[in-house]
Amino acid sequence: MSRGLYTAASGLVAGMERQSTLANALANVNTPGYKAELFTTRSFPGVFLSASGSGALRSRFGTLSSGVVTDRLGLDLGAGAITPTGATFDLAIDGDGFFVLQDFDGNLRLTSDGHFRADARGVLVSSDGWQVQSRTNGPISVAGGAVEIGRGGVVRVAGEAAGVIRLAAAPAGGLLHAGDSTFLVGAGEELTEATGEIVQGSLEGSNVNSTQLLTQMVSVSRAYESAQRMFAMHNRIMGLTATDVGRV
Amino acid sequence: MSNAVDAARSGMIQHERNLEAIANNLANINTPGYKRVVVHFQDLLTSDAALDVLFAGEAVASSSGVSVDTVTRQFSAGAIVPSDVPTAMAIAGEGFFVVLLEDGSTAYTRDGTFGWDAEGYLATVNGYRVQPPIQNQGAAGDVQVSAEGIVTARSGRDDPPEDLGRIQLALVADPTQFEAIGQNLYRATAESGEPQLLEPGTDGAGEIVGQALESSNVEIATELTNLIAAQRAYQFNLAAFQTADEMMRQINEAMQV
Repeated sequence: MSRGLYTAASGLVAGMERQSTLANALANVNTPGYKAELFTTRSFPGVFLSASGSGALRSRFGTLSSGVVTDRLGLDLGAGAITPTGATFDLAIDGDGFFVLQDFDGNLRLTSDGHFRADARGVLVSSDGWQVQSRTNGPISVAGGAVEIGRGGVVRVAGEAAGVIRLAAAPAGGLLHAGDSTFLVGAGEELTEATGEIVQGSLEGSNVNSTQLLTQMVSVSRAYESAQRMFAMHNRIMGLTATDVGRV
Repeated sequence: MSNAVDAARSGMIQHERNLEAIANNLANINTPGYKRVVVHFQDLLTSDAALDVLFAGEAVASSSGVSVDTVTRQFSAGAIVPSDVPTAMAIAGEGFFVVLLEDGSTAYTRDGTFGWDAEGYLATVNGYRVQPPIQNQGAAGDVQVSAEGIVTARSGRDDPPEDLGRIQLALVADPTQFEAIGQNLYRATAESGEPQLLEPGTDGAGEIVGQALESSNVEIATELTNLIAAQRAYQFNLAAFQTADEMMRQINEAMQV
């Protein structure tokens, strides 16, 4: 079958995948602490083409790449804008690092979304109720008075130190979106302390750059259109081959 | 393939909820004791199955869209402004007024627009009595509320002030987890913590400011900024949706023989 048909089809598949990632990023332009995913498209490895036959008849035409594929590069760890909210338990990270949460199954998750609260026991938790880890990997109790959180992460309740909020650096193995604005820490991945500082009463915004994404969307849709034309063309050529070639 | 459409659709639906919350805040810009609503977004995974895959350390599952995580109220104080009504009061502090609902349960409010009901009890504009009950028998004039919440009135111009009762304030661990039940009232939940009843002026409950009302904590500049951001976010998602739609139209066209 015509190679070009499959090449054009791979362009269509990659285009739709790109569009999905762009739509996802755009859906999260207002999600606190959201980190955009970086993608790239690359061609399939090239193959040598040669004329069939042997000896002098067998000549090389050159290389042909038979399609395109979308690759995920990882997360864009750039910071979002820090906006004041005035809420006591809204915390933003100024600099690098992530808050460490322990979910109900005991898994550690990282997040830049510092929209926290005190649960019924008075423990500092994320909006999903997951415990915010202290530097000693324990809970931080914020019950019993006015809460002040210093830039170094020291939590003071009515002036008494109650613990230090842990900030972990992104592990070398990269981060994966795990939903609920959290990132998963891979198995066996060691967390190291980060140098960022905490800003109380603020939230870090999404780092999605909408202008860049909308521009990319235009180029994706045009590339898709080209692939679609190529696809239609191959379809037409094959149609002609089937119906007209060989007709007397 | 419909991932692009799903993500864009989730964006449109959720940002519309944000627009609704902002509209609600703007509508209540002059409602005494109103606390603004803040919508908090989180990213969304395609499915729980995708999460299981992640925890198993296998393939890459990318997030797909956005969801409203919480709609919380921000209980920062509004400005306290003087009122002409002698029974109007505001709280300078963190406490809440306690009122009794028709079904006998208790609700909490920051809205101190109180008046005397038909039987002379101090009640909200909707007729819910303030707890503990404060009754004013007879046409008493010159009503005063002290910072400690003691309500006094005089029977006649030259009579000494008569003690009618004392306002109590409730404190909870986390008011953002209150359940809003309309009419500016909130109900306690397990997450908000059990309300602790205190006398005004003690243990951080706050003091009462008589002949005054707490204005709404909605700031027009903040809401309008959020409105623009939400509207644009909606538009971005609409553009993503239209592009995906156009791509699907093209593929359908290409498939025609």
